[in-house]
Amino acid sequence: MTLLHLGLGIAGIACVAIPIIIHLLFRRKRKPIMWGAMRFVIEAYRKQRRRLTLEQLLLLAARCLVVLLLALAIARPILERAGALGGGSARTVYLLVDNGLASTVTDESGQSALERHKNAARQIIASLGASDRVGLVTLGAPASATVVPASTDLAAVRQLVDDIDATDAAMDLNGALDRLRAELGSEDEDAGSGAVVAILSDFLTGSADAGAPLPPVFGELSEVRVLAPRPRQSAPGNVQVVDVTPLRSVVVTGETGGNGRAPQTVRVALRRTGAAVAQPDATTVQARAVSGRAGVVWPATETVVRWAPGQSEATTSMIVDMGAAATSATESGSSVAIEATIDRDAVIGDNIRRAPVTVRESLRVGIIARRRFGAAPSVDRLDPADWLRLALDPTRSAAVEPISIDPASIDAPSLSAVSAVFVIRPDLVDGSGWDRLGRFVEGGGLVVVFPPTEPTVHLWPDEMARAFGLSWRLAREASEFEAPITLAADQPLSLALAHIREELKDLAGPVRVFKTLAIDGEATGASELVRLADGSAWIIAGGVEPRVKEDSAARVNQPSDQDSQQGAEPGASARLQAESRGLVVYVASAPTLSWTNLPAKPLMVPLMQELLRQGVGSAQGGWTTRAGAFPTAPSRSAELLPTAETGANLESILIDAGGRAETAARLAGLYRAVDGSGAARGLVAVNADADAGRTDVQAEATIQAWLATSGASAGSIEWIDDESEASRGLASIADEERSPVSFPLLLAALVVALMETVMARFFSHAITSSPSRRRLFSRLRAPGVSA
Amino acid sequence: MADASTQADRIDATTYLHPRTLARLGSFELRAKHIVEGVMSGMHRSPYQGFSVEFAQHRPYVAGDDIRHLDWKVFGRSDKLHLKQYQQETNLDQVILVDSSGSMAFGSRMFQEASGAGRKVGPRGELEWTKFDHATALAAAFSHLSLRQGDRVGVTVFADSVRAMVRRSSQQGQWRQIVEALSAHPVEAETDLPRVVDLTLAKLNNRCLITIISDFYTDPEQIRTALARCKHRRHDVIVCRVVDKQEEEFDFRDAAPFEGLEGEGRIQLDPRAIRKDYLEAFQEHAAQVRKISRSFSFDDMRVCTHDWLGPTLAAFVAKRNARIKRSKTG
Repeated sequence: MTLLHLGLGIAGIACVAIPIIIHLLFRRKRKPIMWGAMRFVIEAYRKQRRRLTLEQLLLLAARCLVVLLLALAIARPILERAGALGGGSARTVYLLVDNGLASTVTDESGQSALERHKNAARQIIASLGASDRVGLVTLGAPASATVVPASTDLAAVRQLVDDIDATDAAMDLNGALDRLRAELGSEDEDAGSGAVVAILSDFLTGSADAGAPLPPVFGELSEVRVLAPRPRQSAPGNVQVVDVTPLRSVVVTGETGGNGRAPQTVRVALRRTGAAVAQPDATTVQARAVSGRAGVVWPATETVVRWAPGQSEATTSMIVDMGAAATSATESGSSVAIEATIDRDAVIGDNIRRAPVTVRESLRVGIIARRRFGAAPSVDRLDPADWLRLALDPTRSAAVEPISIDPASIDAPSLSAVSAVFVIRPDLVDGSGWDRLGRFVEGGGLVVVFPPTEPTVHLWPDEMARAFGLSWRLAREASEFEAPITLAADQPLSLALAHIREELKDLAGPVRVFKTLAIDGEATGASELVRLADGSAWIIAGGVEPRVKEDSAARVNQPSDQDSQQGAEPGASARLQAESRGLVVYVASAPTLSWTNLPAKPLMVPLMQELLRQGVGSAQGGWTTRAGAFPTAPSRSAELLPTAETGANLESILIDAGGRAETAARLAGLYRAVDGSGAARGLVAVNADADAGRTDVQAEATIQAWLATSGASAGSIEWIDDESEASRGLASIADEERSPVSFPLLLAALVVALMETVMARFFSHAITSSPSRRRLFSRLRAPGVSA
Repeated sequence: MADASTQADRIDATTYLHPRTLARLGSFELRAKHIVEGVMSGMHRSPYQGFSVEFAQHRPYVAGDDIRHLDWKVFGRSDKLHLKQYQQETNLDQVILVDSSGSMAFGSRMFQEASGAGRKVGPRGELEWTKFDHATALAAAFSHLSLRQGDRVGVTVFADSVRAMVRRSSQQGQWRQIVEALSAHPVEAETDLPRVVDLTLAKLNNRCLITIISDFYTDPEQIRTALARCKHRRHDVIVCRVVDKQEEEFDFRDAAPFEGLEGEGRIQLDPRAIRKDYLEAFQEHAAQVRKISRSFSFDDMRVCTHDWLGPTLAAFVAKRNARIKRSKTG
């Protein structure tokens, strides 16, 4: 039984003590009658004692019952169907509140969808009784079981509802239902019996992916009923920044030449959703460098994207001057990020997007080759290492600093001082050396391997494949072409060579390849960067054992607009873009004139420079995560601290030994990764889930079919049109299960009160004590006289 | 001075005898039902034959007899010597036992209404005319009646034992002593009638008229025992049962605690609920007392505190005298 007014009920029950107190008080205050013939009183009392005690108890019980019934009637009790019949239980309502990015959509009145959902949740809680239980799950990915199992502390749950904040993640209904399945299917039989699951969402495309089926939770529980707001039939348009990609993810400050300018090309992808797609529009895009430090703001670059009617996607390239930011970051030991923002619209969370950029004063490159002593040889006697040094640092600008590493002395200190390693003599590297190179790559390093010129039989590829965990194999012997072969006219377009994409055809023309250590068979897991004219791969790139995370996997399966526009292979783009940690590049010809004339051709310098710079950036990763996922951090990071710019509502995130966050980041923001000693390790950007911000409406039938995939029958899904109907929707369920008993209680109280009056009159013996009544009674009792 | 006036008030006969009662007592005689063994000449028959006017019997002459009592007429007719014996008339000794137990302190009649002195409160400051007050008035009336006849009267005030006693006497001043003894007020103790009767009988060497004035709220067997001893000693007994109207009717309207005057404790009850059983018990006890007294051929008398003593006493005396007369003639 549930009391609608519990306080009144308790007060009423306490009032039952009033008759007892009155009885006790009056009993004390009465003046005794001093009586002489007490022996007869005692004798009569002994005869009547049991009857008198019974009468008094009956009267007291009747009076207490009257008070109790009145109190209960005032408290408006509600009997539950099963409870009234015995053995029943209270209702259980689970509130699944969508606080994903789409719930921040504001309507014309300025009220957000989340506020409407919270109001509906409050209405539902208000309609519950004290014995009912309510659970709360917030759906911002990953779904958070705030109150599961359900609790009877309705006030506390209501407070938790008030405290729900919007996230920048998608709605994770799958996760919530999985959690509920564990709860409803638990051993507690009452948990799933007659439970009501209220899914409070607008079911926009950003929240509900109608194409992805839900876990079949309710099919196993026939009595569960689903309550949901009717899907919105109109929603404001939303423009979102879906991608920000700096063309070069590593900025080397040493090459600015002291002028403080470092122009960085940034590609910004935008998308329109909702009703606004049909209308022409214009969106102002701003891009700037941010440092994550309070008060440090660099000038922004601004451009306007004009939308044609029906256009939903657009990409723009912007030039951001990174010079001051990069210099400042180098001096302060911190990193910078590129931030793209657009005008404020219905969904604020996806109006901004950030991409961290690695800043280096110079790039140290280790060249693993046998050290040569003596004066520099003439051009015709240059060995591969010499050619490589010339290509990497042609102007002695200190932007790239080649360091020689002897193949026999590859150790951790020497590797820790470089960003990339070019292996010229892999045949001289022993097993331990390959192991150290493997760990170097795993830590985010770039290794470029060239075949050695000396041996005729190459056994080192086995060690390399083992150390790097590569699945592709190389030929045992170098193959020499009968006629020099050129590079393919149609080179694969990869991000690694995107900067020289325009000039590559002209630069590749004079290049001839005489000899290669070919890639044996299909290079599984590797991407082809440069192809020979015969169609064989000449330069390939691949990661070590791929540590693909949920976030990166999603990215791999969803090529960006940039990829599609440039025609790059999705896998290679993803690999080179940001997601993997560490990169291995294999060039099939040694950089010497006996294998190829590339060292003497103009392509040599830009090719090596691009391989170095893009490779380093790709190997280190972009440290970008979408909201709702578990962020990854640079190696040796222990914690992600919110930066001053975005840290007002953010909490720090601990990083485990594997570089993975212990908690998911539900809010977008820029974090500063620090190690155990507090030293900065770089910036990590958590961006709003762009897909979660789509505001396209979906048909009621579509959503019903989607919800039905959870096992809920069509009859068990009930729509509510607004939050005020939420409680009524629940009440309609309640009406079938409950019946108000206030009126019957009042009637019962009246009957008991009448009985009490009669009993009091009868037990008081006033009738028979009154002389006139006594005569009347005696007459009635006389034989032959009937009443 | 105050003590003197209080003493004077206490012994004022009008405190106990209303003038209306006294006026009714003037025309009655309290006669002994049996032969009494008085020491003085009076209006009552003596067991001893002596010189009197009322012939009793003849008996043969034996040597030494006074020849003045020879009946010469009989000697002339039968030539035998017989003596004439006459019934000796003597005085009546009355012993009045007044119960002063706790139960006698109950009364529901206002003192001012019942008292002959027109007082608003009794000598002890009480507002009600208690059963003890009524008993003392009755004892005073009996004493007054006997003294006026020249009989000896003694009074004993008792409860569980003898509280006060006035020896039998018919002298002047006896009335004063009796009234003074009756001024004892009730105590919170039960009645021990057999013991009191034993103590009283121990001091009696002749047959007396014993008047027991009490509510007799004690065990009937004790009453029987006490009366049986009186009968055994050939005393005449008048059982005066004093009751209060409220005790007989038990007419209460509100629930209230009842507390016994003899230390029975307190009971919270609704008197209307037990009225029927109470009245049954009360009446049954009264009937038992009456039956016991009649089983010993003693006169019993119900005296209600709300009734005037004069008519009650007059009716009783008249009825008693008529019964005595019938027994003589029969």
